[in-house]
Amino acid sequence: MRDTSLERFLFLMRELFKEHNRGLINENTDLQELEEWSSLQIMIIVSEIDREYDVLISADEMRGITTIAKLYDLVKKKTN
Amino acid sequence: MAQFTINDITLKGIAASVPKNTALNSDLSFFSTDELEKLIATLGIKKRRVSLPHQCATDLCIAAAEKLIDKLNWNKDDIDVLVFVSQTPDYQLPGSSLHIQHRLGLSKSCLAIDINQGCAGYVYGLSVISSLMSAAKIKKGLLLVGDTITKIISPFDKSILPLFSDCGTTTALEYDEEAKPILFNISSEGENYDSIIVPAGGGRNPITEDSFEFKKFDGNIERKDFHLKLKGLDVFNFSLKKVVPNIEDLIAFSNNSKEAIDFYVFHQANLLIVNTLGKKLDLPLEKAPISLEEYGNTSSASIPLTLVTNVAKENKIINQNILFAGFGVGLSLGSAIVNFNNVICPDLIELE
Repeated sequence: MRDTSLERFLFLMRELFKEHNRGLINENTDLQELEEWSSLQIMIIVSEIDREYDVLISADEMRGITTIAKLYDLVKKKTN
Repeated sequence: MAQFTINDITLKGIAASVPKNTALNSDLSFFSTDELEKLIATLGIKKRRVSLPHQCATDLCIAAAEKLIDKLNWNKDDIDVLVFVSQTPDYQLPGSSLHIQHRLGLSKSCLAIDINQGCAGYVYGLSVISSLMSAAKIKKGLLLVGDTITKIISPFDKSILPLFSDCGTTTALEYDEEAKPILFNISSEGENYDSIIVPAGGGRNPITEDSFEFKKFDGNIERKDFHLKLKGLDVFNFSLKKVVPNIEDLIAFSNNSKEAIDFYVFHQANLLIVNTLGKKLDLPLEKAPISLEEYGNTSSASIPLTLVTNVAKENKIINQNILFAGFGVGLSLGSAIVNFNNVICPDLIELE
Protein backbone atom coordinates (compact mmCIF):
# COMPACT_ATOMS: atom_id res chain seq x y z
CA MET A 1 0.00 0.00 0.00
CA ARG A 2 1.28 3.42 -0.91
CA ASP A 3 1.64 5.76 2.07
CA THR A 4 -0.41 8.84 1.18
CA SER A 5 -0.23 10.44 4.62
CA LEU A 6 0.53 14.13 5.04
CA GLU A 7 3.49 13.19 7.29
CA ARG A 8 5.12 11.19 4.53
CA PHE A 9 4.46 13.99 2.01
CA LEU A 10 6.01 16.60 4.31
CA PHE A 11 9.03 14.36 4.89
CA LEU A 12 9.55 13.94 1.13
CA MET A 13 9.17 17.66 0.46
CA ARG A 14 11.62 18.64 3.22
CA GLU A 15 14.24 16.33 1.73
CA LEU A 16 14.12 18.35 -1.50
CA PHE A 17 15.23 21.54 0.21
CA LYS A 18 18.59 22.46 1.66
CA GLU A 19 19.08 21.40 5.25
CA HIS A 20 18.94 24.92 6.69
CA ASN A 21 15.57 25.52 5.01
CA ARG A 22 13.87 22.28 6.03
CA GLY A 23 12.62 23.70 9.33
CA LEU A 24 10.55 26.20 7.33
CA ILE A 25 8.58 23.46 5.58
CA ASN A 26 5.17 22.63 7.06
CA GLU A 27 1.71 22.34 5.60
CA ASN A 28 1.04 26.07 5.78
CA THR A 29 4.28 27.08 4.13
CA ASP A 30 3.73 29.34 1.14
CA LEU A 31 6.01 27.72 -1.41
CA GLN A 32 6.42 30.86 -3.48
CA GLU A 33 7.75 32.72 -0.45
CA LEU A 34 10.65 30.31 -0.06
CA GLU A 35 14.08 31.54 -1.01
CA GLU A 36 14.76 28.24 -2.81
CA TRP A 37 11.59 28.48 -4.96
CA SER A 38 12.50 28.46 -8.66
CA SER A 39 11.54 26.76 -11.92
CA LEU A 40 14.28 24.23 -11.17
CA GLN A 41 12.83 23.52 -7.71
CA ILE A 42 9.38 23.02 -9.27
CA MET A 43 10.86 20.43 -11.65
CA ILE A 44 12.54 18.66 -8.71
CA ILE A 45 9.25 18.57 -6.77
CA VAL A 46 7.22 17.37 -9.77
CA SER A 47 9.74 14.62 -10.40
CA GLU A 48 9.65 13.47 -6.78
CA ILE A 49 5.83 13.41 -6.76
CA ASP A 50 5.90 11.37 -9.97
CA ARG A 51 8.40 8.92 -8.45
CA GLU A 52 6.53 8.47 -5.17
CA TYR A 53 2.88 8.73 -6.24
CA ASP A 54 3.00 8.09 -10.00
CA VAL A 55 1.19 11.37 -10.58
CA LEU A 56 2.28 14.20 -12.87
CA ILE A 57 1.48 17.79 -11.89
CA SER A 58 1.12 20.05 -14.93
CA ALA A 59 2.43 23.58 -15.26
CA ASP A 60 -1.16 24.90 -15.13
CA GLU A 61 -1.91 22.99 -11.93
CA MET A 62 1.34 24.14 -10.37
CA ARG A 63 0.50 27.78 -11.06
CA GLY A 64 -2.50 27.56 -8.72
CA ILE A 65 -0.50 26.10 -5.84
CA THR A 66 0.40 28.34 -2.92
CA THR A 67 0.86 26.20 0.19
CA ILE A 68 2.24 22.71 0.72
CA ALA A 69 -1.24 21.68 1.98
CA LYS A 70 -2.73 22.67 -1.39
CA LEU A 71 -0.08 20.69 -3.24
CA TYR A 72 -0.75 17.70 -0.99
CA ASP A 73 -4.50 17.94 -1.64
CA LEU A 74 -3.88 18.00 -5.38
CA VAL A 75 -1.62 14.94 -5.20
CA LYS A 76 -4.20 13.07 -3.11
CA LYS A 77 -6.97 14.01 -5.52
CA LYS A 78 -4.93 12.78 -8.47
CA THR A 79 -3.97 9.49 -6.84
CA ASN A 80 -7.61 8.59 -6.29
CA MET B 1 2.19 3.87 -38.85
CA ALA B 2 4.05 4.58 -35.67
CA GLN B 3 6.22 1.50 -35.79
CA PHE B 4 8.15 0.33 -38.82
CA THR B 5 11.19 -1.63 -39.95
CA ILE B 6 13.85 -0.61 -42.45
CA ASN B 7 15.96 -3.35 -44.00
CA ASP B 8 19.36 -3.50 -45.71
CA ILE B 9 20.93 -0.43 -44.11
CA THR B 10 23.95 -0.48 -41.82
CA LEU B 11 25.77 2.24 -39.92
CA LYS B 12 29.45 2.50 -40.83
CA GLY B 13 30.66 5.46 -38.78
CA ILE B 14 29.76 8.37 -36.50
CA ALA B 15 31.83 11.51 -35.92
CA ALA B 16 31.10 14.55 -33.77
CA SER B 17 32.52 18.01 -33.55
CA VAL B 18 32.11 20.72 -30.88
CA PRO B 19 33.37 24.30 -30.59
CA LYS B 20 36.56 24.48 -28.54
CA ASN B 21 35.13 27.53 -26.78
CA THR B 22 33.80 26.37 -23.40
CA ALA B 23 31.54 28.09 -20.86
CA LEU B 24 31.25 26.96 -17.24
CA ASN B 25 27.90 26.88 -15.50
CA SER B 26 29.70 27.71 -12.25
CA ASP B 27 30.47 31.14 -13.76
CA LEU B 28 26.79 32.08 -14.29
CA SER B 29 26.18 35.31 -12.42
CA PHE B 30 22.38 34.94 -12.22
CA PHE B 31 22.68 32.48 -9.35
CA SER B 32 23.94 32.37 -5.76
CA THR B 33 26.52 29.72 -4.80
CA ASP B 34 23.77 27.62 -3.21
CA GLU B 35 21.55 27.87 -6.28
CA LEU B 36 24.44 26.98 -8.58
CA GLU B 37 25.26 23.89 -6.58
CA LYS B 38 21.69 22.65 -6.88
CA LEU B 39 21.40 23.64 -10.54
CA ILE B 40 24.58 21.81 -11.57
CA ALA B 41 23.67 18.71 -9.54
CA THR B 42 20.12 18.58 -10.96
CA LEU B 43 20.92 19.34 -14.60
CA GLY B 44 24.20 17.41 -14.47
CA ILE B 45 25.79 20.06 -16.67
CA LYS B 46 29.14 21.62 -15.71
CA LYS B 47 30.43 22.78 -19.07
CA ARG B 48 28.88 23.96 -22.29
CA ARG B 49 30.40 24.36 -25.73
CA VAL B 50 29.46 27.75 -27.17
CA SER B 51 30.00 28.37 -30.87
CA LEU B 52 31.93 31.48 -31.89
CA PRO B 53 30.20 33.87 -34.34
CA HIS B 54 31.90 32.24 -37.34
CA GLN B 55 30.89 28.67 -36.31
CA CYS B 56 27.50 27.46 -37.57
CA ALA B 57 25.89 24.04 -37.21
CA THR B 58 26.89 23.31 -40.83
CA ASP B 59 30.56 24.02 -40.03
CA LEU B 60 30.53 21.61 -37.09
CA CYS B 61 28.77 18.92 -39.16
CA ILE B 62 31.12 19.39 -42.13
CA ALA B 63 34.21 19.02 -39.91
CA ALA B 64 32.75 15.75 -38.61
CA ALA B 65 31.89 14.60 -42.16
CA GLU B 66 35.36 15.30 -43.55
CA LYS B 67 37.02 13.35 -40.76
CA LEU B 68 34.62 10.44 -41.09
CA ILE B 69 34.92 10.21 -44.89
CA ASP B 70 38.70 10.17 -44.44
CA LYS B 71 38.66 7.47 -41.72
CA LEU B 72 36.26 5.30 -43.75
CA ASN B 73 38.34 5.88 -46.86
CA TRP B 74 35.17 6.67 -48.82
CA ASN B 75 35.19 8.11 -52.30
CA LYS B 76 33.04 11.27 -52.18
CA ASP B 77 31.60 10.51 -55.62
CA ASP B 78 29.92 7.41 -54.19
CA ILE B 79 27.81 9.41 -51.73
CA ASP B 80 24.36 9.71 -53.30
CA VAL B 81 22.27 11.11 -50.46
CA LEU B 82 22.84 13.73 -47.79
CA VAL B 83 20.32 14.62 -45.08
CA PHE B 84 20.92 17.62 -42.83
CA VAL B 85 18.86 17.84 -39.63
CA SER B 86 18.94 21.12 -37.72
CA GLN B 87 16.93 23.98 -36.32
CA THR B 88 19.78 26.39 -36.69
CA PRO B 89 20.51 26.33 -40.45
CA ASP B 90 22.73 28.93 -42.14
CA TYR B 91 19.87 30.79 -43.84
CA GLN B 92 16.08 31.02 -43.85
CA LEU B 93 16.52 29.79 -47.41
CA PRO B 94 18.09 28.00 -49.26
CA GLY B 95 18.21 24.78 -47.30
CA SER B 96 21.71 24.21 -45.90
CA SER B 97 22.02 20.68 -47.30
CA LEU B 98 22.55 22.05 -50.82
CA HIS B 99 25.42 24.27 -49.78
CA ILE B 100 26.85 21.37 -47.73
CA GLN B 101 26.80 19.20 -50.90
CA HIS B 102 29.00 21.79 -52.56
CA ARG B 103 31.23 22.49 -49.56
CA LEU B 104 31.90 18.80 -49.02
CA GLY B 105 32.65 18.36 -52.72
CA LEU B 106 29.94 15.76 -53.21
CA SER B 107 28.64 14.86 -56.63
CA LYS B 108 25.87 16.96 -58.24
CA SER B 109 23.82 13.79 -58.51
CA CYS B 110 23.70 13.56 -54.70
CA LEU B 111 20.19 14.07 -53.31
CA ALA B 112 20.34 16.72 -50.55
CA ILE B 113 17.51 17.36 -48.07
CA ASP B 114 17.00 19.56 -44.98
CA ILE B 115 14.86 18.44 -42.05
CA ASN B 116 13.71 20.90 -39.39
CA GLN B 117 13.91 18.81 -36.23
CA GLY B 118 15.57 19.08 -32.84
CA CYS B 119 15.80 16.80 -29.84
CA ALA B 120 14.17 13.88 -31.69
CA GLY B 121 16.01 14.83 -34.88
CA TYR B 122 18.57 12.04 -34.91
CA VAL B 123 15.84 9.40 -34.90
CA TYR B 124 13.74 11.31 -37.46
CA GLY B 125 16.75 11.87 -39.72
CA LEU B 126 17.83 8.25 -39.45
CA SER B 127 14.33 7.10 -40.38
CA VAL B 128 14.28 9.32 -43.50
CA ILE B 129 17.76 8.54 -44.81
CA SER B 130 17.53 4.81 -44.14
CA SER B 131 14.09 4.60 -45.81
CA LEU B 132 15.35 6.42 -48.90
CA MET B 133 18.50 4.34 -49.14
CA SER B 134 16.64 1.10 -48.61
CA ALA B 135 13.91 1.88 -51.14
CA ALA B 136 16.22 3.19 -53.86
CA LYS B 137 19.15 0.86 -53.04
CA ILE B 138 21.45 3.84 -52.56
CA LYS B 139 24.93 2.57 -51.71
CA LYS B 140 26.27 5.33 -49.47
CA GLY B 141 24.68 8.19 -47.55
CA LEU B 142 25.52 10.82 -44.95
CA LEU B 143 23.26 12.00 -42.13
CA LEU B 144 24.44 15.34 -40.74
CA VAL B 145 22.75 16.29 -37.48
CA GLY B 146 23.62 19.30 -35.38
CA ASP B 147 22.62 22.56 -33.80
CA THR B 148 24.04 25.79 -32.46
CA ILE B 149 21.18 26.56 -30.08
CA THR B 150 23.40 28.92 -28.04
CA LYS B 151 23.06 31.41 -30.91
CA ILE B 152 19.28 31.74 -30.42
CA ILE B 153 19.12 32.00 -26.61
CA SER B 154 18.65 35.27 -24.77
CA PRO B 155 21.67 36.14 -22.61
CA PHE B 156 19.09 37.16 -19.96
CA ASP B 157 17.15 33.90 -19.85
CA LYS B 158 18.49 32.05 -16.85
CA SER B 159 15.86 29.33 -17.27
CA ILE B 160 17.51 27.94 -20.42
CA LEU B 161 20.99 29.42 -20.68
CA PRO B 162 22.54 26.75 -18.37
CA LEU B 163 21.21 23.90 -20.53
CA PHE B 164 22.22 24.28 -24.14
CA SER B 165 25.49 23.60 -25.86
CA ASP B 166 26.56 23.29 -29.52
CA CYS B 167 27.60 20.26 -31.55
CA GLY B 168 27.54 18.90 -35.11
CA THR B 169 27.69 15.23 -36.08
CA THR B 170 27.85 13.02 -39.15
CA THR B 171 26.70 9.43 -39.46
CA ALA B 172 27.75 7.34 -42.47
CA LEU B 173 25.33 4.70 -43.75
CA GLU B 174 25.67 1.98 -46.34
CA TYR B 175 23.34 -0.32 -48.24
CA ASP B 176 24.05 -3.89 -47.13
CA GLU B 177 21.71 -6.81 -47.65
CA GLU B 178 23.30 -8.58 -44.68
CA ALA B 179 22.38 -5.75 -42.30
CA LYS B 180 20.00 -6.40 -39.43
CA PRO B 181 16.77 -4.38 -39.66
CA ILE B 182 16.49 -0.96 -38.03
CA LEU B 183 13.29 -0.56 -36.02
CA PHE B 184 11.53 2.72 -35.39
CA ASN B 185 8.70 4.04 -33.26
CA ILE B 186 7.94 7.68 -34.02
CA SER B 187 5.12 9.90 -32.86
CA SER B 188 3.97 13.47 -33.36
CA GLU B 189 2.54 15.59 -30.55
CA GLY B 190 1.83 18.74 -32.53
CA GLU B 191 -0.84 20.08 -30.18
CA ASN B 192 2.04 21.25 -27.99
CA TYR B 193 3.82 23.03 -30.85
CA ASP B 194 4.44 26.10 -28.70
CA SER B 195 6.08 24.33 -25.74
CA ILE B 196 9.45 24.92 -27.40
CA ILE B 197 9.33 27.71 -29.96
CA VAL B 198 11.10 30.66 -31.54
CA PRO B 199 7.98 32.79 -32.04
CA ALA B 200 9.22 35.40 -34.53
CA GLY B 201 11.09 35.27 -37.80
CA GLY B 202 8.86 32.92 -39.80
CA GLY B 203 5.74 33.63 -41.82
CA ARG B 204 3.42 33.65 -38.79
CA ASN B 205 5.20 36.44 -36.93
CA PRO B 206 7.56 38.21 -39.32
CA ILE B 207 10.44 40.24 -37.87
CA THR B 208 9.40 43.78 -37.06
CA GLU B 209 11.07 46.53 -35.05
CA ASP B 210 9.26 45.15 -32.02
CA SER B 211 11.12 41.83 -32.41
CA PHE B 212 14.32 43.60 -31.32
CA GLU B 213 12.88 44.69 -27.97
CA PHE B 214 13.72 42.70 -24.86
CA LYS B 215 10.49 41.70 -23.12
CA LYS B 216 10.17 40.84 -19.44
CA PHE B 217 8.79 37.52 -18.19
CA ASP B 218 8.25 35.89 -14.79
CA GLY B 219 11.36 35.02 -12.80
CA ASN B 220 13.48 37.97 -13.98
CA ILE B 221 13.70 36.60 -17.51
CA GLU B 222 14.13 38.85 -20.52
CA ARG B 223 14.11 37.78 -24.13
CA LYS B 224 13.27 38.94 -27.64
CA ASP B 225 10.60 37.33 -29.82
CA PHE B 226 13.21 35.67 -32.01
CA HIS B 227 14.85 33.99 -29.01
CA LEU B 228 14.11 30.42 -28.00
CA LYS B 229 11.21 30.09 -25.56
CA LEU B 230 10.78 26.89 -23.59
CA LYS B 231 7.94 25.90 -21.27
CA GLY B 232 10.20 23.89 -19.01
CA LEU B 233 7.67 22.06 -16.86
CA ASP B 234 5.45 21.16 -19.85
CA VAL B 235 8.41 19.62 -21.66
CA PHE B 236 9.56 17.89 -18.48
CA ASN B 237 6.11 16.33 -17.97
CA PHE B 238 5.94 15.30 -21.63
CA SER B 239 9.33 13.55 -21.29
CA LEU B 240 8.30 11.74 -18.12
CA LYS B 241 4.93 10.67 -19.48
CA LYS B 242 5.52 9.75 -23.14
CA VAL B 243 9.07 8.47 -23.61
CA VAL B 244 8.94 5.24 -21.60
CA PRO B 245 5.72 3.91 -23.23
CA ASN B 246 7.20 4.77 -26.66
CA ILE B 247 10.32 2.72 -25.84
CA GLU B 248 8.34 -0.17 -24.36
CA ASP B 249 6.17 -0.34 -27.49
CA LEU B 250 9.27 -0.43 -29.68
CA ILE B 251 10.82 -3.23 -27.62
CA ALA B 252 7.57 -5.21 -27.83
CA PHE B 253 7.51 -4.60 -31.61
CA SER B 254 11.10 -5.88 -31.86
CA ASN B 255 10.18 -9.18 -30.18
CA ASN B 256 13.25 -8.71 -28.04
CA SER B 257 13.60 -8.39 -24.30
CA LYS B 258 14.66 -5.18 -22.59
CA GLU B 259 17.82 -7.00 -21.54
CA ALA B 260 18.80 -7.75 -25.16
CA ILE B 261 19.51 -4.03 -25.62
CA ASP B 262 23.14 -3.24 -24.71
CA PHE B 263 22.78 0.54 -24.49
CA TYR B 264 19.90 2.98 -24.14
CA VAL B 265 21.07 6.31 -25.49
CA PHE B 266 18.58 8.99 -24.48
CA HIS B 267 18.48 12.51 -25.79
CA GLN B 268 20.59 14.32 -23.20
CA ALA B 269 17.91 16.77 -22.05
CA ASN B 270 19.17 17.11 -18.49
CA LEU B 271 20.33 14.69 -15.80
CA LEU B 272 17.04 14.63 -13.88
CA ILE B 273 15.17 13.56 -17.03
CA VAL B 274 17.75 11.01 -18.18
CA ASN B 275 18.04 9.47 -14.72
CA THR B 276 14.27 9.36 -14.29
CA LEU B 277 13.84 7.57 -17.64
CA GLY B 278 16.55 5.08 -16.64
CA LYS B 279 14.80 4.40 -13.32
CA LYS B 280 11.37 4.02 -14.92
CA LEU B 281 12.83 1.43 -17.29
CA ASP B 282 14.75 -0.15 -14.41
CA LEU B 283 18.05 0.09 -16.29
CA PRO B 284 21.47 -0.44 -14.74
CA LEU B 285 23.39 2.88 -14.82
CA GLU B 286 26.02 1.58 -17.25
CA LYS B 287 23.36 0.92 -19.90
CA ALA B 288 22.26 4.56 -20.05
CA PRO B 289 25.36 6.63 -20.87
CA ILE B 290 25.44 10.33 -19.97
CA SER B 291 27.53 13.02 -21.67
CA LEU B 292 25.84 16.01 -20.01
CA GLU B 293 28.54 16.99 -17.55
CA GLU B 294 31.04 17.93 -20.27
CA TYR B 295 28.81 18.76 -23.24
CA GLY B 296 25.37 19.84 -21.92
CA ASN B 297 22.17 19.50 -23.96
CA THR B 298 23.24 19.61 -27.61
CA SER B 299 19.70 19.29 -29.04
CA SER B 300 19.60 17.06 -32.15
CA ALA B 301 23.29 16.11 -31.78
CA SER B 302 23.10 14.67 -28.28
CA ILE B 303 22.52 11.01 -29.25
CA PRO B 304 25.35 10.66 -31.80
CA LEU B 305 27.64 12.78 -29.57
CA THR B 306 27.01 10.44 -26.63
CA LEU B 307 27.72 7.41 -28.85
CA VAL B 308 31.10 8.92 -29.75
CA THR B 309 32.10 10.14 -26.28
CA ASN B 310 30.57 7.50 -24.00
CA VAL B 311 29.82 4.31 -25.94
CA ALA B 312 32.69 3.88 -28.43
CA LYS B 313 35.74 1.99 -27.17
CA GLU B 314 39.03 2.47 -29.02
CA ASN B 315 37.14 4.42 -31.69
CA LYS B 316 34.75 1.58 -32.48
CA ILE B 317 31.34 0.21 -31.54
CA ILE B 318 31.25 -3.49 -32.35
CA ASN B 319 28.34 -5.91 -32.17
CA GLN B 320 25.99 -3.95 -29.90
CA ASN B 321 22.23 -3.53 -29.95
CA ILE B 322 21.57 0.12 -29.22
CA LEU B 323 18.29 1.87 -28.58
CA PHE B 324 18.05 5.63 -29.17
CA ALA B 325 15.27 7.81 -27.79
CA GLY B 326 14.83 11.42 -28.85
CA PHE B 327 12.09 13.73 -27.54
CA GLY B 328 11.36 17.44 -27.50
CA VAL B 329 10.57 20.26 -29.90
CA GLY B 330 7.47 19.71 -32.02
CA LEU B 331 6.58 18.24 -29.69
CA SER B 332 7.82 15.01 -31.11
CA LEU B 333 9.38 11.79 -30.01
CA GLY B 334 10.95 8.78 -31.55
CA SER B 335 12.98 5.72 -30.68
CA ALA B 336 15.00 3.33 -32.78
CA ILE B 337 16.81 0.04 -32.27
CA VAL B 338 19.96 -0.28 -34.33
CA ASN B 339 22.43 -3.13 -34.47
CA PHE B 340 25.95 -1.70 -34.49
CA ASN B 341 27.94 -4.30 -36.37
CA ASN B 342 31.22 -2.46 -36.80
CA VAL B 343 30.91 1.31 -36.49
CA ILE B 344 33.96 3.58 -36.65
CA CYS B 345 33.88 6.55 -34.25
CA PRO B 346 36.84 8.91 -34.65
CA ASP B 347 37.89 11.03 -31.65
CA LEU B 348 35.71 14.04 -30.90
CA ILE B 349 36.79 17.09 -32.92
CA GLU B 350 37.21 20.46 -31.18
CA LEU B 351 36.91 23.34 -33.63
CA GLU B 352 38.92 26.53 -32.98
